[in-house]
Amino acid sequence: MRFVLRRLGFYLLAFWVSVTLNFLLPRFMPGDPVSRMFARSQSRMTPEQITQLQKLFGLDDRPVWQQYVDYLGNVVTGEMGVSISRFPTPVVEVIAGQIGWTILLGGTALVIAVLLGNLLGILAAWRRGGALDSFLPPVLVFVGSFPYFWLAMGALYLFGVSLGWFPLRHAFSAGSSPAWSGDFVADAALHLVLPAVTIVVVSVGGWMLAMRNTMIATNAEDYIVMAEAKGLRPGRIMFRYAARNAMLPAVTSFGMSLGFVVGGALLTEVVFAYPGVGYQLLAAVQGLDYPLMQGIFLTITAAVLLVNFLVDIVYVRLDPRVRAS
Amino acid sequence: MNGRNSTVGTDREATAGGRPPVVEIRGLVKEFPVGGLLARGTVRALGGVDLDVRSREIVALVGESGSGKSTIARCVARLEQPTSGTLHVDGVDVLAREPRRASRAYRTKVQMVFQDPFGSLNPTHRVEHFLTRALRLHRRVTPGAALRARLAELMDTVDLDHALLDAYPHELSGGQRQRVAIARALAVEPEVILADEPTSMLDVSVRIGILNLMRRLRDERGIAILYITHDLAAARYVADRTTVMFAGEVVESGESTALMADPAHPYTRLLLSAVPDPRRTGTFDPAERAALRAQLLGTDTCPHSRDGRCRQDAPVHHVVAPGWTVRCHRYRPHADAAGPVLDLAGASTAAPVPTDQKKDFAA
Amino acid sequence: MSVTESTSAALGAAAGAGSRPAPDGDALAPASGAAASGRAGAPARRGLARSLLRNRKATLGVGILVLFAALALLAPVLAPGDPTAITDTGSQPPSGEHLLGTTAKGQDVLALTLWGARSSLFVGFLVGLAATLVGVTVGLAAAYFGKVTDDVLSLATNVFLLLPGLPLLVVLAAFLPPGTGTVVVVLVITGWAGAARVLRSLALSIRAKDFVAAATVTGEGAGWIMFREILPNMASIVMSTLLGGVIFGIGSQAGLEFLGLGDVSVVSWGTNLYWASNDGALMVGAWWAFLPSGLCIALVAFGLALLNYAVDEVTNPRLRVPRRARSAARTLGGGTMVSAAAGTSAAHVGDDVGDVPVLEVCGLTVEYRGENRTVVGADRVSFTIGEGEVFGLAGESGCGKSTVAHAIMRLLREPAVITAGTVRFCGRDVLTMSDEELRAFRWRDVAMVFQSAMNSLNPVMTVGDQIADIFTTHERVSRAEALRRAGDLLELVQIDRSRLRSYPHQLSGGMRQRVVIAMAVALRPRLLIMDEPTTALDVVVQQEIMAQIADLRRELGFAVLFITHDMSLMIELSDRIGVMYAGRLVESAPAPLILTAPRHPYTRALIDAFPPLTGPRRELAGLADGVRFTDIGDLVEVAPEHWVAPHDEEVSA
Repeated sequence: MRFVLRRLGFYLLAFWVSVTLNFLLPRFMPGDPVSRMFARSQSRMTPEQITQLQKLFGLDDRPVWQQYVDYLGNVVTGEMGVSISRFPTPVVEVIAGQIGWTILLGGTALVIAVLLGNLLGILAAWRRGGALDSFLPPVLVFVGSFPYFWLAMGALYLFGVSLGWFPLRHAFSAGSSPAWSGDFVADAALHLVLPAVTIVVVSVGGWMLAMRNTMIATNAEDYIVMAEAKGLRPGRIMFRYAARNAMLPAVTSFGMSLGFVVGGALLTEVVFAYPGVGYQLLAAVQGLDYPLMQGIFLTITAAVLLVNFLVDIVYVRLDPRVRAS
Repeated sequence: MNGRNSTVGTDREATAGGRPPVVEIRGLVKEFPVGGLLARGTVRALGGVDLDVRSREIVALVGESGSGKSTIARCVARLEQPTSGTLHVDGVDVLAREPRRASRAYRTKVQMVFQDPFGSLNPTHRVEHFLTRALRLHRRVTPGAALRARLAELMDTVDLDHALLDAYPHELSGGQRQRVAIARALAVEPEVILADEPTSMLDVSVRIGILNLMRRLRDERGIAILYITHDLAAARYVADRTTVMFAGEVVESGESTALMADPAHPYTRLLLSAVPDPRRTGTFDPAERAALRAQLLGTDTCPHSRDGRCRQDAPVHHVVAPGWTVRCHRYRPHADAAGPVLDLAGASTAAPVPTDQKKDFAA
Repeated sequence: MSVTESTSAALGAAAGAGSRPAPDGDALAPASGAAASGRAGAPARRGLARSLLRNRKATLGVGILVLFAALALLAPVLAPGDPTAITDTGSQPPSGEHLLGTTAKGQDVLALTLWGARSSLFVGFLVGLAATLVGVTVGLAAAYFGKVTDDVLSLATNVFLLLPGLPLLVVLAAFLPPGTGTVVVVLVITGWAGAARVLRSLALSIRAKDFVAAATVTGEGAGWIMFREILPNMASIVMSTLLGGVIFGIGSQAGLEFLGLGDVSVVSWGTNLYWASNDGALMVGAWWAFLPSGLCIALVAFGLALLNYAVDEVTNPRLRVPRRARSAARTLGGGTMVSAAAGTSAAHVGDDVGDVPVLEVCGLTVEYRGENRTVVGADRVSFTIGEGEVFGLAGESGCGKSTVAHAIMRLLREPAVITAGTVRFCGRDVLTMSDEELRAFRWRDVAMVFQSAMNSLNPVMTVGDQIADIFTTHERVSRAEALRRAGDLLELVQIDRSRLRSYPHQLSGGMRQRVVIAMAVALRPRLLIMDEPTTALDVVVQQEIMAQIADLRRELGFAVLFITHDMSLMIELSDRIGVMYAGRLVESAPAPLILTAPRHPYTRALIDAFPPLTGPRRELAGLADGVRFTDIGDLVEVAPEHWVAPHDEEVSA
């Protein structure tokens, strides 16, 4: 319990750092980017909206500390201003409408990549020198060396443009609208295949190699030799003794790798014009939509931190040594 | 060599008590912080230790893991900062004069040999480097031919082939590495060497060689050695005096053979009874061991209490014979330090005391 | 910040991740430490470069990197002129004139790719260097200043590590004026933490080593210790951090530029892809416009990853894929490789123990087959153990006594191979058993107590489950019944049955070893192998454990193969003793004879290593450091039941 609370404190601190970063960036960057934004889009806004945005970005005369306090308050209450590129929708609403697609894409890809990669890693380490152990790692390292977006483009070209097996863009066909109907779910699933597979293909190698290497270290432990000496069945030794222990570092590295997966998902969304927050983030940057950009950044950060926290809770369940302390 | 020491003392045994100690430790307390940024606590590793080491003398500090014996060495080597207490070397109050960091002059007097010769020699340097650095830092030699001669002499002292000067540590055996570590300490020409379990990581067949080397350094160079070990037989073999540590405190101290022939403290007796020795007849039976433990955990009587100074809350030391003291049996050590050592039956320190532990003590 | 502490860097997204323990052991040393040469320590630094040269992955990686560096340098020669110049020959497929075709704007793709290498490699290496530099600084600062500084640094590192990189990059790049400088700064801001994390924990672990304390005691100053003692030992990890940083730099730069967040007027692989995507190259099927740059990024990253992986393999040889691929597949769960030659018999020792001895080891030879050399771990070892007898196998680390123990249960792993000899248990040949027979034989007939109880118990399973495993596997009883019997076993070694639900870390060292002993006698085996069962314990606990074993033996009557280097303990407990040296048995006799009349000089040295606790102090002589016995012959019976190898002492320089 103490451990969980300590981690929670740490994640709150990390979130505070990213909020503060967000606060400082528009105020202290050279070239006064915020003024550029106002110059471009002032005409469309009401005076109240302008005042609110000015407050958000520090274009008023209040002392910095007061701006900071107000800013923190705004973030906590979810008051992030209105989006400029999708004027006059509030930032929170824009994000709420798109985060679901990102969670669907990122979540699906992550779960598949983690499960597949770890399983491959376990098998490779267990059968040292087997096909999985000798051929797969170099292949996966090579595939993993490609930039996400490039593989995404390749997949799009090959399976979308040339072969026509999969749709080219977006999360569902034009004309249909999100609903819980069988047709729509099938349509969305079809749209999901290419982007998700791209992410899995690029990231699975990292998971596999990490798991393989930890498993190799674990296999040298005395308790594995002991389990063998006990005459246990190989399957039980592999999963209950070796993999169960090798999993622990994998769980911890999961949190850290999450940031990379999010980044990859983001780029993949851009290539497939998948309507998630990543695609929206780029649109916001191109449209000098700073409120939306900041909102998305904070949302992604919060989500990553939250998942990390959940992973910690799982970790406590998995490792009795942490549970006790 | 250090001329002052080599002229002192003709009969070690007779004069040991009379000479002023080179190292004099009084009331040494060391507490280690535990916990993170918040919720800090302390664990007491040393609970007020008194200890003297004289020149031309080997003092063995024996005890089980967690008894605090290595902490004493690390405090004297100024690798750890004592929480309280005093440390005099050559009569100088070291902690008062150099409160934060030891001076090089201090390092010239006190050297240390570590337990693990595989860890105490930096794998990226050659043997020559270790010795040359020690010589240079303490201005023991001028560069050039004198340096080569001095290096050769050092290698001779520890019985190593001169060719090994060019070797990397990983090319040496454990015994050879430990000899290099000793040579590094000797290069400084110290008055005291702290030897922290110098043989416990070595192959058994070369251990006695290292012990014999320590004896030779004492006899031929008058170096004072504080020898930390868990091996009572080795302590008896090499040390003039033996000090027994238990739970961060000294329980008994005296001339090695006398102390081990008839130990005065129940802990010393328990420890001694546990050492396997096929040459010894009449090892302690289980009932007697259990009785010793019970005595250790709590007794109201102390056979040495004729001087009437016994107290349960202060570490009073009774004199058994001249130069032989024993801590009052009635005194119980500081709880958190005693925990792991008293936990003889092997219960967890984290979990509540289980019933079987009591059973074991009683059985 | 505990949980995240133990994992490896994730600076580069993919390869090179994984555990990277401190370099230890050589390729030959088997996991159990039973090798004849446990001696070879960390490879020296000059060894790293040389080992890398011999590593195929490394040479391929270096080759790729050198090739691209050359192409980047030679770009002005190979493709003179401005690569971005717009011509009217747009969207041409590859041809003789334009080897890689042209973009929609009519620029030559080959020229763009060559020129792009300059910016991409430059930025990548700059980012990698800068991030590594920050990492080294953080690591050394944490190691030097310690406590509070380290707390703050590690907190900052962990916070930055958690912030999602690419979104942060995008936001930063959006606010900063575009340009190559911006890209580098932004990438370092988002990338330093990965390097810092690895290097900090490395520096701290080196800081805690004895050689740093030794340097302090010698009188070295702080600066010397930081840069001459700690830093050189970080070399291989610094190198892999650098490689990971470059991978991160090149990949992230490309991503950033692909999004149009860099300076799109600069020619780099990232901007090439940006323009290809912007011009809709894919939609018109101009695959040649985006293929080369992506392939280049992947190849360079692959080269770096290979090199990084090779550094991993060199510092941690275990990760290498075993040579004899096929046969190795059988090592876990199956049994030790037994060469066809095994079965040759050799001279017997002590035949007169009984009709059929419990254990009969005959001419057992085990080799550790390395890539470059083969080390004999056990050499023609023969002995027997009678019903209920305690046979001690004495010797020092690396003498092969553990190898023999593991060979009896066929627990040896690659690269250990039993090349000759037989092992008979009650007349049955152990070495020819099938996998299934072997599994049934293990623990039911012969059980084993390993050296370190802490390490021989699975840390994430309760003690009860680990004991119950034995019953559910061998006797096919229900879990409830298995747990009930596990409880009985614990009580047999005087541990409360409530401890069934405890995890190993909740027990003290002595208690854990008693749990392991309880497990060993679970199926009432006729032979118990005890491999240094009390070495890690203090003497008082050791005494309790040994008393426990004696009690159990009285009750259950099993024979014991007792392995230790502690001659005092061995003589007290054993009926007969065999002394091993360099894989050979040099002496074998009843315990009292070994104590009072040892014949072999090595046996004498072993006994002298344990001075007596009583009687006068007399000077003992150990084995001098250079003494080696070579060409040890077969045992000869010099007195009834007293066998000694003919010996001649050789002193090697």
